[in-house]
Amino acid sequence: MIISVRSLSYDELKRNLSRDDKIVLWSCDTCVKHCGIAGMEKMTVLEDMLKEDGYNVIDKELISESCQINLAKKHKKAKEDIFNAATAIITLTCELGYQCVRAVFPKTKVIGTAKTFGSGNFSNKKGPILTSPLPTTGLALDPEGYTLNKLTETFNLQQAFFDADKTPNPEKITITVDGKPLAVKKDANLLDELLANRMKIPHLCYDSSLGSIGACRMCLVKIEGKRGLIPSCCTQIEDGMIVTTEDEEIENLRKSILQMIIAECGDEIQQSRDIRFWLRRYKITENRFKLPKKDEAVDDSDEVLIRDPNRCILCGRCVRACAKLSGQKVINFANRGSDTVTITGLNDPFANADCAHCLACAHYCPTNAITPKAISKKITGYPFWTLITYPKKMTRSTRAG
Amino acid sequence: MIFSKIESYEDIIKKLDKKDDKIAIISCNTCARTCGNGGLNKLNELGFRLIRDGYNVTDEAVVLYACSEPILREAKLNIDANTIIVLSCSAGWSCFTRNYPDKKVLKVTEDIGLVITDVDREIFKVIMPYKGHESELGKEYRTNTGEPLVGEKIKVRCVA
Repeated sequence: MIISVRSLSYDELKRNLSRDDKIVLWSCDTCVKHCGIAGMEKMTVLEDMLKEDGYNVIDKELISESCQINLAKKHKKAKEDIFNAATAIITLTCELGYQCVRAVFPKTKVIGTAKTFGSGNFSNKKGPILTSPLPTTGLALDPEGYTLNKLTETFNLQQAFFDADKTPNPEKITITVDGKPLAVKKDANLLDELLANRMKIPHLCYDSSLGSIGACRMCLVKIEGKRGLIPSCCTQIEDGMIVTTEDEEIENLRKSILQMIIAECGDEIQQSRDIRFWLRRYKITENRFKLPKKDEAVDDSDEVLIRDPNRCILCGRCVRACAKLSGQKVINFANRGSDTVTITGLNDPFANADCAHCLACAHYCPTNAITPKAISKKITGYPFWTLITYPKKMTRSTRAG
Repeated sequence: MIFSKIESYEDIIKKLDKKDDKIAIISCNTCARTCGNGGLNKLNELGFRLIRDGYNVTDEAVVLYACSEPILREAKLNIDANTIIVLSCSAGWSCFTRNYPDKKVLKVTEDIGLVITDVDREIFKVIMPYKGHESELGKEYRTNTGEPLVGEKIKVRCVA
């Protein structure tokens, strides 16, 4: 991964902006996100800070890999009106991403916020570390790595994200959740705020980076004055709202949905962390549904990704990730109603579908229906065909793996 | 992305002991594959050549990122070998050096620089070169093979 640290303070950022600017925030969702200075959450924080200070933020754009210039061009094309209106783009990306944005938007003011130091690792103990520094740093290659704190101290750069300079204070209102008052952001998404307040609400189709479609029905809640059960991911917060997130009816419904998913997709789907967590939480050990199990071929034609349609629950995360984050639209829904399936390309094998391998679909899939290809094999000898290819220097009889 | 170049086969085998080394080959499937030095193809190519020449290759693996400890943990590699060849950039080599301190981890690639890619046109371009490779600044290559290209197809400012 590429290691970058924030190079601008919030005041320096504001000095580069004018009050008349129509601002688009542009963030990468890969390396720089793991360095703690980008991603949808960070963009939302910066948007709140700028809006509070009277700046005009017209849009936020999350891109799966900002160093792929072809993806940046597709994002520009998808939102041409917004980018034509924008007068400033603030990039939460590494310097490579910044240069891509500058190349794609040559007439717009582009403000970079990060300095790139080289490549490094994500360490379980230390987080992101720089192991292979660029020559401009004057540092030597070190497998143990330099932590981000060490880099910010050495090069006098900014610690953490912009909110370290100034805490945003968006307007809060009070709602009642399960009988207790809760201070939440006005006009925010209900599920976002419940999750931000550490409440456990199951959700499979929703992610704040991808938006909501209300497909999985796992996040259903009761709202006083509204008929039936409401998907919290599709609900905007209103003042004085009274919400129930857990009762017997809601729990039974969530259990039924989980049981139907397992009946249709098979026990293998329990390997998914999200599904496993909720099965344990609701103590589901038996399945009362007997549905015909899917029996479709696994697509391992691609060199990077494997797609198992049997595990797909049609949550649409991969479809939205491919369209919104990469701008590719390689993955789509086909057919209607109970015949709906996800397809790649024009129902082609993955390998023929023009995938950019940004891995957004695999990252956001909640059931491991799309996973990165990982191969690990023990070598015990030559396969038969290598006997023909390399007959002279053969040392063993067979190779299998 | 990070662009690294693999050493020649002759240079790699100079670092190996035919008699004592049990060899594992680990290949990165992201940057290294895009730049033509990793992925399944390069792994198979090196594996076959080493076995053909009488080296004891015991394990082969392709991992999504060689530079991420969480991904290594997920991959659950069970390496019997005492020598690991990592087909990745030096960040991947560093990760294996730290995580397998009891094994000899061979560095068989050299970092050239940080690159931007245009996967649709199958090109990548060096934007920020590493030390000793300053002359690579602005040069363009074919993705998946690392074949050098002539002329400038991606118009982007390069950072010296």
